[in-house]
Amino acid sequence: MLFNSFEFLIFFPVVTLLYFLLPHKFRWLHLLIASCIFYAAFIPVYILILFFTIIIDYVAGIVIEKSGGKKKRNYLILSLVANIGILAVFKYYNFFIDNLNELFLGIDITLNARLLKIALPIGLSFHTFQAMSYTIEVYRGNQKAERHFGIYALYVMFYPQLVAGPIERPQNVLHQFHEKHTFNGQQFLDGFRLMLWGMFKKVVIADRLSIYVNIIFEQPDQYHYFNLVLAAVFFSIQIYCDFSGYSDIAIGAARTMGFNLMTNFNRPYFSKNIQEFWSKWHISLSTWFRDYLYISLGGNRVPVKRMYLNVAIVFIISGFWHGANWTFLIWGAIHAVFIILFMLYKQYAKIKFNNNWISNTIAIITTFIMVTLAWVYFRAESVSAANSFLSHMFKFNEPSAFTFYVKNNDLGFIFNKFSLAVVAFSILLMGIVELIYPPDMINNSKYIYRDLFFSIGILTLIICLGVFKQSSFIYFQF
Amino acid sequence: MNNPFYRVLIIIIISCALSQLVFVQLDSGLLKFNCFTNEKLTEMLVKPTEYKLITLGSSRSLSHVNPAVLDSVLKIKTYNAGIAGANIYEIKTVFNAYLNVRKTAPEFVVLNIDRRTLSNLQKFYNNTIYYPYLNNVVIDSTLKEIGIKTYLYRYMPFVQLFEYDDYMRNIGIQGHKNKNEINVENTYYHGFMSLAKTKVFHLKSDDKLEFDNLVTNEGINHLVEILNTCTQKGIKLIFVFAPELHAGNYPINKSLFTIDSIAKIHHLDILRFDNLDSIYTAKNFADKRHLNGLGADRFSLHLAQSLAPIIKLAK
Repeated sequence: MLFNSFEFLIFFPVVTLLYFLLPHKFRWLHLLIASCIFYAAFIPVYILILFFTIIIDYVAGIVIEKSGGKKKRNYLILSLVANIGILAVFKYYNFFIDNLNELFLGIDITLNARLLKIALPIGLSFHTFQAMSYTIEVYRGNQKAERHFGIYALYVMFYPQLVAGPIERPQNVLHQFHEKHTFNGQQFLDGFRLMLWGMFKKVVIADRLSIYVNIIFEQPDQYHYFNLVLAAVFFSIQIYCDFSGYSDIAIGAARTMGFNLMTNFNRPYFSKNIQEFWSKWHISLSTWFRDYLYISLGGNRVPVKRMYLNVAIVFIISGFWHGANWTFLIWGAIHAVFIILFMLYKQYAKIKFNNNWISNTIAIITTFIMVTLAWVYFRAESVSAANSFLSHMFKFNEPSAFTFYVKNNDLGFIFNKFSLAVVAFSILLMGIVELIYPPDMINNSKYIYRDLFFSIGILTLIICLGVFKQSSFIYFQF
Repeated sequence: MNNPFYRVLIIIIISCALSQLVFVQLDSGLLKFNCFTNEKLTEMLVKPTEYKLITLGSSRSLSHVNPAVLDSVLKIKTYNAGIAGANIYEIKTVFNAYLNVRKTAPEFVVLNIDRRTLSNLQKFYNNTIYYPYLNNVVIDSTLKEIGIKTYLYRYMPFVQLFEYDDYMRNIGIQGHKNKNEINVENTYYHGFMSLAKTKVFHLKSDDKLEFDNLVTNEGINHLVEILNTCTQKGIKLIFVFAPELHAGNYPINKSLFTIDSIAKIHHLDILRFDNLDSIYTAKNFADKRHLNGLGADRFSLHLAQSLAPIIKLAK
């Protein structure tokens, strides 16, 4: 079920209301059923895969806790292999086979290995990583194994963050499912406001920008180079609004019921360097990789060259996590290069910039440009398409005159003067709001009237300016 | 004010009220901008004015068939009921809705078929133009059939905003600036609106003239339903294969083949203009798929002359 759908408009208030009406002992069941309905709205049969991983990790958690020494380690490996195995089959199998076929074709051998005709279960990478973090934390002794199967299933399936995160840690969330939540008005309002804000970012900004971005990325050779620059910048804003919008709705929906999920975005485009960017973008994933992969590889307690290698491994795998395509691998590799260059710069550069607004602005813009260039690989359908996009952009090609407005005759979609005005206004509004409000908009009832006017204004803007074409969230595909 | 439910309720009620205000403004701007379309739909779907002959179809009817020319040649009252972008489903709906508000059916229906008419890929080209006409039961039930929540639109009209795109929002604003869909060179009469009178399309050597074969079984079924309605009401149905610019001879495509076979089975007249060299020259076209004003008048004359013996015989 999409957050920006009519069904969710009914689903959300019913589930939230019932949650508080039901006695505490039935609430886990209510949320579990609701989460199943939410997930089954996509492809119902894939709920079986989800339950398969839930059963494996539930059992693994208990046996890991009970065992010691080598046995404990073997159980962990077994559970990780099962989780990664499912990911490998559904997400990466076709990619490997396709490349293998190509490779053999290159040396004149026809391998013709068969591809699987299966759709990727929605949000597979997210809930698999969340499940893996549970067994790892139990193994490390930071988390007690959950005995209540329903509660554990809910930890993996909790509907707000089931399909696109935030990827939670068991220490943060599991205990919350045992706690009795009494209705907290302020928390409810904070959550509601955050949901509105996330929806605004998604339907007013991201979905509007996608009209322009999709048209330009489809035929970059047909457009003026500045159209390409604009499309790349628009995609940076689109993906932020799309994904952080989703996270806001997820965190907000959970908060209305008294659950606190972790912050996933913290104004990443105000970062002054690439390292800072990664501490503010998709925080739940970057900390996952830091805690479970980077540290396991030795982190920064290894020789410098090895540390750089660890960084490269983490970023390339992180890129691959996003999708089985060379574009994502290259995107990850580009960020690895950026981070390593920044680390080298920090280590060896003698030039020190003053911490004033001019140098800060230059640093923010530079970081944004770097991130934007890398996003081209993330957005493009293939590596050659991304290369072609960048080459048209940097060769300053002018096959047609520059225009802010684009038209797609067949679909009747149009990005016009009005769209541009809305985009400019909304981005400005977003900048101001994200500077005024703390991340996740927790307010503690300080400004009742300001919040009231804000919520009224945002809801009105959503209704009047939203692009409601039932478009999915970008990160659902991962 | 401290009760969170009241606060959420206040937020929702005030936002809905503000959205309704915006909707009223935007809607009145849209009605002003789409003055021709709205006048046409009111004539067709609300007023019971009787016409002897109506032409149905997409923009190939709307901007190609001038009833003024048909009236003068055939000496009967005609109306152009073509809708921009319409395929057979929308054509069927408009036809049924037209019949619904009239006591007597027209004697003749000219159905303009083009290569996309039977595709049925998209039910309506722009369903929002029909929302002011929900009192017509055919419009209401058809929109419901395709999942449009018309009951919401009746009682909470601002919900229609969810279906607006920036094009509509923009023209809604343009309407308040006294701009409308009729350009200086457009002529209009009884549901017909020409494209620019003298605009000439310049065919480039690399222009691709696509003749895709978009015919679906569902599309054919809708066509058969129109045919059955005509039979029941004693209406003479005439197929016209609508002109589109082509280089050389018009290729026999799937639409034409389907219409040809249906016409043969049901003994219906089919008027084909695919070998009419006087029409198929670039100077008669405003773009690849639409005649300019002069081209429309020329085509309408040819159509009227072809219809004359059929109508005479029927009488």
